[in-house]
Order: sequence, then structure tokens, then C-alpha cells
Amino acid sequence: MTHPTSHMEARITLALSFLGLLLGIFVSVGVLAGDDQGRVNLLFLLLLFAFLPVLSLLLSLVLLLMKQNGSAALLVSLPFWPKEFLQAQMNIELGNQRRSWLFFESQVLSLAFAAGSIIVFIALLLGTDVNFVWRSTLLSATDLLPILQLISIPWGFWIDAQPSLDLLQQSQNSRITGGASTYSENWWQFVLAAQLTYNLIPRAVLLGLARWHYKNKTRLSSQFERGDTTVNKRRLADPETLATIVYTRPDSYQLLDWSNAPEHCRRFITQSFGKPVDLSSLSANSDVHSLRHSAELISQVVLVRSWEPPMGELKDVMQLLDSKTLNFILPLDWDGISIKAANNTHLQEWQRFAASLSNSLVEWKVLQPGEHS
Amino acid sequence: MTPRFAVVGHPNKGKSSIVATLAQNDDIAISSRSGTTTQCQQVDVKIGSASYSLIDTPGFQRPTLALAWLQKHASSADKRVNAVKKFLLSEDCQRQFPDEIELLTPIMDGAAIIYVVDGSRPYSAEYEAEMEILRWTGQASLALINPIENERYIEQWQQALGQYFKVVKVFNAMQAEIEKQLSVLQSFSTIREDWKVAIDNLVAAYKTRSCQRIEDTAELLAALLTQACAYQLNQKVLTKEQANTLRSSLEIAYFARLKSMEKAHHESLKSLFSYHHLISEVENLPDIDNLFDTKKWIVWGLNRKQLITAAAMAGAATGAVIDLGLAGSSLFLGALGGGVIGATSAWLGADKLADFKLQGLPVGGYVAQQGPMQNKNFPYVLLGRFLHLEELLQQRTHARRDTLLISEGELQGKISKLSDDQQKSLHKALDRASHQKPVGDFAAILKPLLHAERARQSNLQTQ
Repeated sequence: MTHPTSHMEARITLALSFLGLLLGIFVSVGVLAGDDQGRVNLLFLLLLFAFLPVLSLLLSLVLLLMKQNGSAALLVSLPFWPKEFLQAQMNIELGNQRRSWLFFESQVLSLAFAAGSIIVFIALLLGTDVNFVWRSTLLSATDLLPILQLISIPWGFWIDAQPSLDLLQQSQNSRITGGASTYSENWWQFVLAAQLTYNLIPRAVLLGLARWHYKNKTRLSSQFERGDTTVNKRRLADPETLATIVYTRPDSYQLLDWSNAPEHCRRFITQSFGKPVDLSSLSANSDVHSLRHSAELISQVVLVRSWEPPMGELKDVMQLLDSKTLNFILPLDWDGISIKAANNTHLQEWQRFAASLSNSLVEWKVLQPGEHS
Repeated sequence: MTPRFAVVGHPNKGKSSIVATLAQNDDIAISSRSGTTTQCQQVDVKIGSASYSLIDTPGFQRPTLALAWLQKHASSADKRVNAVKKFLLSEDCQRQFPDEIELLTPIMDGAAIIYVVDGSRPYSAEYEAEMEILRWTGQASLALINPIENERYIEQWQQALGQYFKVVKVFNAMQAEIEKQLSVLQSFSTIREDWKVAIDNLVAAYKTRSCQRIEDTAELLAALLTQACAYQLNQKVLTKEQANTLRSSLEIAYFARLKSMEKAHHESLKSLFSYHHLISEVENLPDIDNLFDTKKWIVWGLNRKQLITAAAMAGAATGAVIDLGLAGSSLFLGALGGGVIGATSAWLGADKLADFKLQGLPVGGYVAQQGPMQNKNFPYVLLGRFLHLEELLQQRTHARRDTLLISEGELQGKISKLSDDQQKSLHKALDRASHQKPVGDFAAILKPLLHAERARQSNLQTQ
């Protein structure tokens, strides 16, 4: 489906093309109509078909470099446009591509103007005899020749379109001396080459570049909005079962300290759950079998730091404990002097871990000090 | 040579958050559960022509036993790197230490190490095995202390990490601004000389992108203001009665379109800052539940007094152009008159919304028109909300997954920081936009209001 914005863009492009074409036609007709004897001033033609286009081209490039919007922006800001047209062009959802679009439309306008000028020129060459003359109070044919030769460098391969001193002298016209031209129609190739070289071709190239830039920016922008990314998203782990949290103190228990807890922490455990039957340190290098208490029916309580996530080496050790009774993991949170309630996210981490250790023979629960502690 | 960085550490200490922040990418999965990352995830970051890779790794799971294995296989320091290589190739180790194998592989493949710890929790000796293993790899490394909850144990960590790493930095993944992010990369240019050029290019590319982002944000804001102020909804009808029946539905559709226009630009702004999954709650604020309740607009836009001052400034600026044209012969009556007219129209139109009009068509029938918005405060409201969102995005990192809550903005405060000339240009531009007139280089006028631009200017001044 075509976006409504594209329709509006197309309509504006069409309107500007039409406007440029009309401007080109009217201006060219005005200049090429000549005087009452049909004589066309060659220097005016050069001004219109070579100097002004080059100047406007340079202006376009300067505006582009200065991050200005170009002639289309100037044109749409003129006060004579109907309000509906202004609203329509502003309603186009161009986002940050507006500048590129306006620059593109400026090139459309200029190319249409160049096309209009050339159409009129060719039509007049076909339909009438254009008599090219030149006049100057200060310049002579020898002064003018180097300038024209410089202009004609780009089409050096086109011999018939090259200026010559003979041609210049023949086409010089003077109202003071009444001199007339005899070979003046031979200038048409030179004028056509100038139009193509300095007007039509550069504008067509610039239009192509502007179009590419605008389309590229639109494509990038839409990619941006879609949030295209090459990074693979990772699937989060599926929900897991959580072991129960208990607050009841075990009747008798062996405390296995994985956390290397400070003294005030051990005192707190004794106050909360009673004195353990045995207290041993537990580490990745522990000989687990030697830790097993002689009274096999007592519970084992593994003390861990609640904020540290359960690691593989703890799991390996706990699986080796192989007790046949109920066991507990006791995550505690402490600082230098006091014991704090373990954070819920941390507790859930330990609940998941305890659940992953439980099987039909061994059950692991998370032990927490109750409110009375 | 493209620099590669492996982000390693204990499980659940913010490795993925660091990757998301440094890569400025909210696609990176971050979970509060430990062990979510089981395989290395390489994120390729490309900025202009510069690029680098970040590798999110699984956390250490069995560092004590892994180190014991390594120590058994290297009798002296010169054999340590080879011992790590053997460790990676050993089938027994691959079975017993899958996480260590996974995280050490990119490091032995040439990636530099970014070791992450949590500065809000105390240091303990169990981390030493991890740091020792990393030292055995012989790769360039630095340590980042990520204060997840608070900064209580930073000093303790600095002392411990300083014994294993040449560079130790405090880096809060949830708050680190761009300069801090760049300083992490820049640290490696001193540790790894062969990456210096690539890292310098990266830093330059980041800076260029920041400037371009400011330009693009200003353009986006200009586009929103221009389009929203000019928006008009038309519907052809046969009779006046039909038009009156349609009126309320046309009004609803008109306001809905304006809201969606604003939302689309907000979404584009988020995309511009590379947020593709960020949910914001600007519309659901309890006191801003309706964009078109003019009584509530003062929260986002200007209050009546500020609005009148702004309109007077805009009117005076326009009138001054007439004075200039008359070479002062108007005795500055243009500026004075323009100011009075602007202020009066703002006073009278403070509660006005969009007009409903009915126009006859030459071929028969009518066209019912809703809009454009008449209220002078409307562009200020859009401006205030957009600027507030931009400020929040600028201050946020890509590691955060919480909803973006947009509370009250302080538009007048932001405007008052501009110079007098900038304020005049702004008020004049918004006045023109609210009259559906084109504004020349609107983006350049709006740019000084952007938080990023103000921060950039302030950095330039500091330098």
C-alpha cells in the first residue's frame, strides 16, 4: 500500500516540475524572441544558459554545505502560496529527512527550468531562423574570444560548436556603426552545448544524487524506527520451581559454613536456631565425607551469603553431602556489625537452587530466621 | 584490528548490564537470575567506520577447582599461558568446567578482559581464584567496580583489585554517562598499544555520532512542531446537517491523530537514542491524562503569564522587522504594537483549542475542517514534553529495563537558560509555527534547548 505521504510528495514534485518548466519556457521565449528584427543577443544567452546556471549550482552546493534547505524551501516560504498548499507540504511526515527532501525538490525545480529552456531553444531553431549577434561598448572580438574558448573547453571534441575569431567578428553588431552579421546562425551549436554542459547535465546529476541521498535517509530512518538490530536476543530461563522457605528451627543440626561468616553472624545463628551440634567450614576443597556427622538423623544447615549467587562448586559439594534427612540452606545478609533481612530477589535465587538439589531421597529447604529472632 | 573485550566475573554481578551500557543496546538480555548467560554472546558495535566487539560471558562457577587444575599443570610462571591452553583443550576439563571453558575461550583468542565486581558488597577471598585464573591468561585487562546497590565497599575492592589489575575503575552500569563509557575503552589504548589507533577512531566516532544525534533530535522536534501545528482534518459532506453530525467524530479523530503524531515522534526519538524496547508512560500521568485539557497545559508548556510574555516577545520581534524596514522612522511603534497584539491574542486565546469550520465547495457540497490548533500554548506543550523525554533518555543507560516515567518538565526553566536573542527567536518561531507559517531553520533555533547540546556546550567550556 502506498503511504499518503508518498502521494503528497509526488504531487509536490509534479507541481514544482511544472512550475520550473513554465518558468524555463517563459524566460527563454523572452530572451530568444530578440529585438524587432529577430536578433538575439548572444551575451544575454550566455548569461542565462551558462553563468546563471553555474552560479545557481554553486549556490545549491553552498546551501547544502551550510545545511540550508535550497531554493524549494525559499519558494515554499514565499507568501503567495495558498494556505492549503503550505499545510499540505508541512503535513508531510518527513521527520529529519525534511532537508534532504527540500534539496531534492530544489533540483527538480532547476532541472525542469533547464528542460524548459532547451525545449524552447530547440523549438525556435526548428521553427524560425535565430539571428545571433553580440554587442558591447567595451569589449572587442579579441577580448571575448578567450572567455568563450574557456567556456567551450568541456565540449572540445565538438568542433562545430567551438567559437572562432572569424565567427565573433562576423556576428558583432553595432547600432553605432550599423554592422550586421552574416554567419550568425552558426552560434546555435555553441549555445546548445553551453546549455547542456552548464545547465541540464549538472542538474540531472545533482538530482540523481539528491534523490539517492533522500531515499537513503528515508530507508535508514525507517530502519531506525523499526529498530532493526543484528544482536541475537537471548531467551530467558523458563520459570523454575522454588523450594519452600521455613522459619522453624531444626531440632538438632550440623552447621556447615560455606560463607566464612564472621563471629557476630554465628552468634546470631545460635540465638535464632539454638547451638548447632557441630560447626564445620565448607569449601570447594572440603573432604565432604569426613564432614558427615556420626548421628545420621540430624539435619545439615549450609550457611551462605545471601547476596552471592549459588555457584557450581557449591552445588557439587552439596550433592556429595548425600544426607537422608531434611536439609537446609541458610542465606544470611550481614555487614560489619549487624544481620539484615535477606533481599527477596536473593532469596528466590536460593529457593531455585535448593529446588534444583532436591530429589526423591533428599529435600532441601531455605531456612530463614523468624520474626522472633 | 578490531578490539574485542570479554566481560567476565562472578555470576550476577552486572556483566550483561555493562555490555548493554557500553554497546548502547537495549536488546541485550539482562536478568536478575544468575546463570542466565550460559554461552558467550558477542555484540558487534559499529559506529561509522569504527567498530569493536563486546563478549558477554557466563560467570565463573568452579574457579577454585579450575585454578587447582591449572596450578597442577604449570610449575613456573612461563608455563601458565600454556597451562590455560591445555585446560581449554582437555576433555575432562570441558566436562567438569563448562563455564570456565566458555568464558576463557574468547580471552585466549585475543580478547581483552573487563572483570566486573559488585562494589555494594564486601570483597571476599573467594574472588581471588577468578582473578588469578585471569592473570594466568596473560591478556590485557581492567577491572570495573559496578556499585549495584550502593558504594559502601568500593575502597575495599579497589585495594584488592589493584593487586591483580593495572586499571581499576568505578563504573555504574545504570548511570554511566558517555564520557565514562569512553574512558573504559580509552584505558585499553594504554594497555594494548596495537589497539591505540582503533580505539582513538572509536572515541572520535562516538563523539561524531553524539553531535549528529543532537542535529537529528532538533530536526525531529522541528518536524513534530511543524506538522502538529499545521495539522488539519478535512471531510467532504453533502449538507450542513451532515457536517454537524460528523463534527464530534471529526474532532475525536483529529485529536487522536495529534496524539499519535506526538507518540510517533517520541518513539522516533527513542530509536534515535537506540532504545527499541523502552516503554515510557508520558500519557498515563495522573494529572496529564489528557493532552487537550488546556488547564493542565501549564505543567508542560507555559503558564498564562509566561505565555503572554512569550507572545509579546514574538510580536515585538516581528514588529521590529517593520521598524528596521522603515529605518526607525516608525519610532519603534512596530515593535511596541507587535508586542501588544501578541500579548493580547495570547491572553484571549489561552483556552482556545482547534476550530471547526465549514466551507462550501464550488461544485456543490461542503468541506468540514477540524483544526489547525489555535492555542498559543500548544507548541510549548509539545516542546516541553519532547525536551523532557530527551533529557531522560540522555541521562539513562541501555542497561536499565524499568519503564521510563515522565513527570513534570520545567520548560520555562530551560527557556530562561537561553540568551535573549535565542529566546526571541524561539518564541517567534513557535508563533509562526502556531500560525502554520514555515519557519526558517527551525531545528537550529530549537537546538540550544536540547539537554545533550547544553551538556556538550558545558563540556566544551570546561575543556
